[in-house]
Parts: sequence; C-alpha cells; structure tokens
Amino acid sequence: MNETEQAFTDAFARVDRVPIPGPALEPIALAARSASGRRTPGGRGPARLLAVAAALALVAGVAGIAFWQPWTSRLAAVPVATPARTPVVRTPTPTPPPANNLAGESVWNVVEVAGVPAVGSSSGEVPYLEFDTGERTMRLGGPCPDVQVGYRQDDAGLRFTLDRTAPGCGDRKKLAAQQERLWTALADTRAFTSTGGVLTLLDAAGEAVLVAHDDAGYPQPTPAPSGVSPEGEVRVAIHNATDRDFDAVRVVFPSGEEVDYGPLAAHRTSSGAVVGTAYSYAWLKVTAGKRSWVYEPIDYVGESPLGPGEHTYEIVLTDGRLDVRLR
Amino acid sequence: MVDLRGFEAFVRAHSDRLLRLAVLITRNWPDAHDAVQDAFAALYPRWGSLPEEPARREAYVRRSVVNACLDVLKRRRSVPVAEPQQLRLAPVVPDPAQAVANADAAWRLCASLSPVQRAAVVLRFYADLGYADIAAALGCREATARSHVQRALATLRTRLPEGELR
Repeated sequence: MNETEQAFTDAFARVDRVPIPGPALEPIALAARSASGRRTPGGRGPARLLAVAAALALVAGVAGIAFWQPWTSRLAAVPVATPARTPVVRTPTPTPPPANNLAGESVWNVVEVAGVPAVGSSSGEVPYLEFDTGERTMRLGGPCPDVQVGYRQDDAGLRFTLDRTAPGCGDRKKLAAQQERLWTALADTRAFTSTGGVLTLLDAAGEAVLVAHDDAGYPQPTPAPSGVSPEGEVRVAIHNATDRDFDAVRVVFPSGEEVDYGPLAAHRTSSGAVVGTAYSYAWLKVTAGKRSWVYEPIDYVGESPLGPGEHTYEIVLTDGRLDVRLR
Repeated sequence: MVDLRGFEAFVRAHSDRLLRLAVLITRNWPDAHDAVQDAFAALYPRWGSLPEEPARREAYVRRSVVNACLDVLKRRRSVPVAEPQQLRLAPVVPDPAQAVANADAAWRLCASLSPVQRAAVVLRFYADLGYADIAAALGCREATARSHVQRALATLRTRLPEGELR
C-alpha cells in the first residue's frame, strides 16, 4: 500500500475509534418499521418515538403488548408484505451503454475536444464528464479542478447551463487551453449521440465538438510496433513469477504502446517487445481462466526511463494482488 | 417465512460496522442511521430469500446499505459535508505527524468527492474490498469502480503540497 492509499485507510480508520452516537439498532424496531415505514431513533426520521410505539403495536398486533415476551415471538406477528424472491446482485457486464443514454457508465473520458486529442496530466489523468441524470447535473473533472454544471435534455437535444466563464487550471498552459476548448464545446453543444461506449457532443450544425469513451473503452492505446529492434532501443520482456499459467498478458506503456504478450506459463519468461519509453513498471493486465488482475500505476513521477537494452518485468501475486518488479 | 433469529443475529453482529461504513459515505450520523435502517427495513420481509452463504449475504446487505446511503444523500440534495467532530478529534495513529496530516487531507478530499466516488473509496479503503466487490456493491462495472478509486487517489496526490506524499 502506498502513502496515498494509506492516507485514506488512516482517515477511515478513525471511525472505528469513536463510539456510535444514538441508540443501537434494534432488530425488532427494524422489522416493525418494514411494516410501518417509519424510522426509529438515531436518524432524522419524523416522529421517532411515536414510530417505535407504532412499530411495537404492529408487532404485537395489539396496543397492550406484554413486554416480557421474547422479542422473537412478537416479531412473528409482523406482516410479511411481499413474497420471497431471489435477490439479484447485478454483476459487471460487458454490454455497452444503450444508445443515447447520457448516464451510461456515468463516467465518460474525453478523448477529443474540437478535433484536438485530449491532453492528460503528467499522472495520465484525462478530463472526464460525469452525468447525474437524477439531478440533471454534469461534473467536468480530470486534471483541472472539478466544476459542476446543469444541463437540459429533451427532444430538441442537449444544452448545458453555463453561468460562468471557463474555469481556470492554474499555470498549466496546455491544460488551461484545453479547459477553454472544453468549455466552448459544452457551450456549443446542442445534441449528442451515445452508442457503443462512445459519447459524441454535437453543435448546431451537427459537427462533433467533443468525443468521450466510457471506462470500458479507455484507454485505447495505439498498437505496439512490430519488427526487430534496432540497436539502442528499449526491449521489455515479462517473467511470470507466479504459480499460475496466464492465458494473456497485456501491458500498456506510458509512451502509448499496448503490447499483447499472449499466454505465459508459470515461471516462464516471454520474448521481449520493443517499446518507446518504459519505466520500472507499467499498466499491466493478466488473465488466468475467468480471473484477471490489473496493475495500475497512478503516475511515473520520480521514475527514470529505462535505458536501451533488455529489461524484464517480473509479475508476482501477493495475497491476490498483482505487483510488478523490474528484475 | 422470515428467518427471525437469523435477522436478529445479523443485525446485532453487523450493524455497528455497517453504521460506520454508512457514516463515511454520508458524513454524518443521523443520515447513516437512516440509511442503515432503510436498508434493513427493506430487506427484512425478504430476509429468507437472501443468499445463505454468509459472505454473499453480507455483500448483499452491504450493497443495500450503500444504495440507501446514496438515496439518502440524493433526497437531501445538499450533501452535508461537515466533519463529525468526534472523527476529527480521534487520533489516527500515535505518530508520525505526517500520517495524521495525510489522513486529514484524505478526509477533507472525501468531502468534495461525488457520493458514488466517495462510496467507492470507502469500500476500497475501509471495507477493504476488491474492485469486483466494489463494482457489485455499486452496481457498476469493475472498470468504473477502479476508475472512481484511482481518480480519488490521483486527486489526493495533486492536492497535497509537493513532497508531502511520496
């Protein structure tokens, strides 16, 4: 765990060190509430004490309940309103969001603004749009400070409510210029299309002013260069230091190459691939059967590029977590 | 037929942990209580039809609580982000001071995250769930869950002074 992750862990661990205010949750009151629809003490629910009294009355079926009874026998009188049905826990599916659905997977990573490819921060963070279709708001986030705007969507199309000028982005010139383009694109938006995981915002003339991909479609790096490495180039191989046979190993290097190393048996080393820029680690995904693991670097700050020659990433699995080391 | 004893045992065994999970998402105790109560009250009539395997049952309830938290926040529209005083005063670790400062920064950052993103981070670093389980709890794809968490981490890094975090 790195320090950023540790910071969240420490922050959240605080909650374990404080007593929970308010009364403990009582199963009997909760069960009764499922019939009465009223909340019990502790929350903001209205008429809290009355709710408890009403709940207990419902449980007993009569107002003059005998409190010495075991609560379970009282609970047995709670009317069960709905027939039992098997709950369905939705599992991730590979299907793309339906056409013209703004929410989709809720986060759209911007890949192009006004015909210009999106610029990311040094940590690889790109701008994104996050729609809340309930509140009719859209959050523009990414490498610049987040900003939230309203929007209107109807048969006539889509319009964003921009009640301010373009937000700044500090002294980062490229990102600030991109923020201006993003803001102009949002101001010009009159319609949109959303199919196959790609959201396109269109202006009044029907021209695309912004293109974004949902998370499943991002990143879309360019294919790895093929061929024999000339002298002086960087070549990276993969060593599977685990006891599992991997069906696929895929690496996306910071210079944009996506290399598919194919199957890799346990304790075997792949052949090397020529890449543009590589550090001591990279984005990496391995698959074994139906399971897959991803190593996702946050950034490459402080890392020095690997020099020309042969390098090997060693893949290890520790407590179910994937790690990558340079051998 | 509702498994009454099972329901009672589950509530008694897990309500504290679920309340703490809820308060990290809602950032105040009254809403946390409301959310957990909403979840249990909705689950009670069909308790007997929940998965029998303890881990799956717990995951199912956790997802209900997370959804209830998000519903509570949505209904309130203006999300209360005031820090519970108790949490601010509670020690993180005896020392070092840097860890405390980092945790403070993480806590402040959570106030500015969207509820869904905050829920993802809480599930990752408080409930210690993997991305597949976070995705199941949030009803989204694993890639989306990962994206929520990674963005929060990246944002935390950028909001701290240079060198404060390695």
